[in-house]
Amino acid sequence: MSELITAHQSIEPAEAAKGADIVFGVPNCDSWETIQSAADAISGAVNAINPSLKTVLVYSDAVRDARALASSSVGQPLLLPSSMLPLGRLRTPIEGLNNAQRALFLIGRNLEGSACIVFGSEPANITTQSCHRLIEPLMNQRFDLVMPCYSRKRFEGLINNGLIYPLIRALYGKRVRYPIAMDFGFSSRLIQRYVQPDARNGTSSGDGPPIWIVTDAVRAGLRICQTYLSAPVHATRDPTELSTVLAQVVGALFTDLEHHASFWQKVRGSQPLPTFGKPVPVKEESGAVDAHPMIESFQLGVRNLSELWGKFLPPTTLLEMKKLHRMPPDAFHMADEWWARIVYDFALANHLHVMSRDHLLGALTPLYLAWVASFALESQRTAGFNLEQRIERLCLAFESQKPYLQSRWRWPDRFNP
Amino acid sequence: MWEKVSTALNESASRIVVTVVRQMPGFVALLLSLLLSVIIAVIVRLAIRRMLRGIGLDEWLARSGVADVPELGPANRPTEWVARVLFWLIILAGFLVGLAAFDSTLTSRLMLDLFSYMPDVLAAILIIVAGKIVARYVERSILIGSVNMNINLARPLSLGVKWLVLITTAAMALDHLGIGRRIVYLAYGIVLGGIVLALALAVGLGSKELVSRSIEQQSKQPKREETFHHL
Repeated sequence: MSELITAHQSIEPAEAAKGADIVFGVPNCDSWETIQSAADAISGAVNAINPSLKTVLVYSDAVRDARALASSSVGQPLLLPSSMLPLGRLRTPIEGLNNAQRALFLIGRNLEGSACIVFGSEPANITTQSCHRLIEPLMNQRFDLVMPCYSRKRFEGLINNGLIYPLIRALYGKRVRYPIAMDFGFSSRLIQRYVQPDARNGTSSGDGPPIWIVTDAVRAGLRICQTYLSAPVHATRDPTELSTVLAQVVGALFTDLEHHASFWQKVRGSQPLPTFGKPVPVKEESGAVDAHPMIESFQLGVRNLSELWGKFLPPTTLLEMKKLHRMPPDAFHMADEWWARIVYDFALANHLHVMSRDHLLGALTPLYLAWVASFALESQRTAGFNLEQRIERLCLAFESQKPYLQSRWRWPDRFNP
Repeated sequence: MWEKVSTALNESASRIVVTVVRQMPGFVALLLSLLLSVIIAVIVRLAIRRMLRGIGLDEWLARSGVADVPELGPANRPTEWVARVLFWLIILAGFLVGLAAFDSTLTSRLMLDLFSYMPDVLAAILIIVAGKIVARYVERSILIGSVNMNINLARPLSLGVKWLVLITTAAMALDHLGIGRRIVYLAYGIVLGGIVLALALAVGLGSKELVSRSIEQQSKQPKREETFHHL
């Protein structure tokens, strides 16, 4: 029968875990079974790389099960409860990710670990192969940050594909495919860096995702790589309203680029990162998608928000949006160059404090939906549509439009809408 | 006869001269007081302007969305307005101090009346400024929120709420000034009651289709979410 683990009892494993080689965090495991399964996957991967490595598995102390106390058997990671909450019990995955990362940075430092790995996605995705792919570049190839590559369907992770990835790539010059990742690994050098009080340099936004992890590693010139995880990540229903999620994610990104303007203004082009593994084939759902509600949302935005957009969007962009508004739904198409310019204009408006941040980020939603609708219709019209090739084209548009942002950022007075 | 006229003229002239001489210090004091108040007002205006620019009042107001600072132009920025109001208040104070040199009882009475009314005037000004700021912020929030929620009547809705806030503000300001209290109460009640009644009738009778359409749209929404995953 299960017993409660008290604070006193949890001191002992913490002492025993000191000097661990790898600290694993599994904030999404909310039952003894999922923890045990993760421990098995980890021990399988670690034994294949180097069985002498000392590993610790940090799980949420909200999982109160006495079996966790008696589990430090030979070849298995030492289990350590921590005060992080399981992701499922928090309001949004972003909040959960922030919470888990904060806890794990501190645990990693206190245990003097050589490397730390966070598994924030579904417990079912914690497989031996995924663990191996995250551990190997850290322990054998001395990378400082291992980011994941997920195999996802074309209409999943749209904010990442349409905005976050192209923008971070164009600005910081590194092709980190999933800058806001649920699963990633980092070295002790990064642990030490992240626990410094000024590590976030004011870029941490309370509700926003931890974008600064990638941008900080890029700025510090640390070694970053990517690895394909073994299992595809299936999208769950978006937890909150789109405009709220978009404001959180884009707000955090804008704050970050605001603080590091001197860095990204010097970056030209982008470099690929060493990438391990191969993508897992994902079966796309057949059948037509209905983009009309998104086009209608955009049209409603043009009718009502044009005046507001006019405060920071150039007249040519506004004219283009009005043309798009009049386009028949079947021919609806937003050029990548216009979308890139719009994102840059919003970033600049945020920098110049043209209006309240909440209003500014809220006004982006109809334009984002226009891009999603255009992307969805294009994917249907194009025979043999390839997601990665399509996103690559979008990224090149963001890169080609970067001088536009640079010149407007440096000389905002030259242009006054 | 001529002597009497001459005496009367002399007395009259001397009375005028005496009166002028008696009022002269007061007049000089008024001029000096005005001059001094202008100097102080200029210094205070410069200092206040510098301090408010230093703390970034205009930027803060623009950022928080309470004032459209870039649109106002350099002469009408909030910093300029605060400095301008303080400038004229100091000059008014200097003028009143100068007046006291002529007739202290008259000025005292004037000052007493003015100062007893001043808090109401200041409160009314503050209410109007705050009301305008709140109205603008609420209008934009409702407009953007409604568009993002796919509400077709986003603009009329935001304008309605904005004017509701402005009418409430005006009624509160007039109440503070003590102007037409009964009329204000009555007019405000009629306007507010009219709006609520009109909305109730519009939703209850005229917008059956609109309501059913919006419920229908809401029931369709999960289908869309199944296809597109943004996060």
